[in-house]
Amino acid sequence: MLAQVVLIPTESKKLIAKAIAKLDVVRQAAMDGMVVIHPSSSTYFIFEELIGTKPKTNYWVCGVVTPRGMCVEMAMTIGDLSPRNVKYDPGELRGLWAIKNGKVITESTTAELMEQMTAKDVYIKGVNALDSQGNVGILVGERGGLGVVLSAWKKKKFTLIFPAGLEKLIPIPVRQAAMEAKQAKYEYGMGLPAGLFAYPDGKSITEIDAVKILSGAAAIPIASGGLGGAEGATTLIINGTNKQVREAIKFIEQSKGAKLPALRLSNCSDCPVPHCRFPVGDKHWV
Amino acid sequence: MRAQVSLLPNESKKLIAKALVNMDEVKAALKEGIVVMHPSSSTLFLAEEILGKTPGTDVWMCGAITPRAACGDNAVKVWMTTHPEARGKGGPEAFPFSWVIEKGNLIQGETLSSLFTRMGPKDVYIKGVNAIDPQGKVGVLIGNDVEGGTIGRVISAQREKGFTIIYPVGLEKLIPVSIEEAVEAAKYRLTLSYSMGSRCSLLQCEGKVVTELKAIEILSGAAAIPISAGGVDGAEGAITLVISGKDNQVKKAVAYVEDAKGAKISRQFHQTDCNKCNDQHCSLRGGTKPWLKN
Repeated sequence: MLAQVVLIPTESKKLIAKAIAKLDVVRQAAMDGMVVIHPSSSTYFIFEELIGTKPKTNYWVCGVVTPRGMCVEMAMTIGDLSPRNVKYDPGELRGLWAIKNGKVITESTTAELMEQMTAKDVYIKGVNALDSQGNVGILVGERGGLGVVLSAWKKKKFTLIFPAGLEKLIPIPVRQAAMEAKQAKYEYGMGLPAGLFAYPDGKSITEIDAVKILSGAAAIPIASGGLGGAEGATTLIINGTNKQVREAIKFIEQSKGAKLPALRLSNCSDCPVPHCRFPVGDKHWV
Repeated sequence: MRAQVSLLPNESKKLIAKALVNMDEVKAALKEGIVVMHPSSSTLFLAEEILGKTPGTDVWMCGAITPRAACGDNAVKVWMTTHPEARGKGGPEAFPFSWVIEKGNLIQGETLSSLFTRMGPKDVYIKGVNAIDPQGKVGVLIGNDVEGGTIGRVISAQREKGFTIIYPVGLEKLIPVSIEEAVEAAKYRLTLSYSMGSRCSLLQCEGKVVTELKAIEILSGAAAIPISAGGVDGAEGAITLVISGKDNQVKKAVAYVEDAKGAKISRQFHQTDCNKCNDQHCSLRGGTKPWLKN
């Protein structure tokens, strides 16, 4: 049986979340170990799939590419848990979502969670770049907990999972892109300049993998992009036995219409982020 | 000098349009020949760059991927179903919605077959695409044999007449597999048991391809490297680039990028109401799916 489907980026995130929540390593870790999730648009639905409710924290996303440029969600700049209200130490940041023995933990610092991680556990993080070989990269600003997580991963080798919709595809190897993206060397930027870090390991889960995990069917991308809210969409052909393709369609239809919470951005004129080197508040497109 | 910029898909289309009008082939065709465009969001920005205003046309695009499906514009559907000349093998040649720029004026209503009789090596045909692979090869979705069949006839005519075909394509359209593999996967469009919208095949297209990377090179001489893609809250499909080169090159590129920022499509898409659509093969016909009510 053959089917043709269209998924816009948010719908892809929902579909991928359903697949990640079905992975044995994730289910096992959520019940008998720990799943640590970096808040993001790509992981929001994973929390929901694993717990059955929406995340109840103020952080649902951190750094973002927005129409104006690179920015951070307002929760990163205000509130009791804001990094601005604590002495800056990436290990002391709070905001990661953790599921330990089936229970949600949101108050632990990154360092505390990494200290508890073992080889049976899982760390899930959205990405900003995906190449055709499945390698992923993340944009890194001047503050963040990446070093703390990587340092813990090198010692403990927990599983790294990267949900990555095909919207994130770039046409060159991620490693090559990372070489070009040295954020300290920009003389112009749109908002917060960022470098790109190429992850050395881990498993990326795209829509193609998600369809396979959820149904056993094969998905082949035949087109990308769209209009009127379908920008970044992916068009797939689903191929398999009748049962497989019907199962894939069921999950895809469940993902259609998925919505994320509203994004809250500060006005550039009021923004307290000290390391935004290229504020765009005076630009005509903002 | 190095700069980091992010472009939304519509902004990329505007930037690429600015580059197209600076290409020697297009400049020569505007001066001494004709520039023919297939209506689309990509070519709408180009027409606006050339004419200095939005072209006053009934049809500004034919088919599109929308949040609900692969769908077509009402006006084209009406033409295909109500005009006898659109039916049968001669349908694509009878297509009357191309935009033709000749001696600075926009001409509409001329059929492709008429255009083919007068197009030659000095002329240019420009069409948006639906897929680009990591090797830079492009493909066009074919949702019907009439409007969708036009690009096949154009490619055949190009071999005979020698005009230039140019495909503007933002990196939003990137797919991870080769165009050949995607074409193979989509070749059984008529046997699809389920389809969100028109049942589409993919046609590999040969010609000159202009992405944001090529556009920046054409406009400024600077090099652009894509470092990430995607975004949220309206930045879905965005591309983030690092631009490097001499100071004057990068400054020039940034000026063009800033000029393209905020670009919006100037026309509305008239999508058929799923409750009234006659597409027998669309699995969404009737509009009963919950996400169509959002």
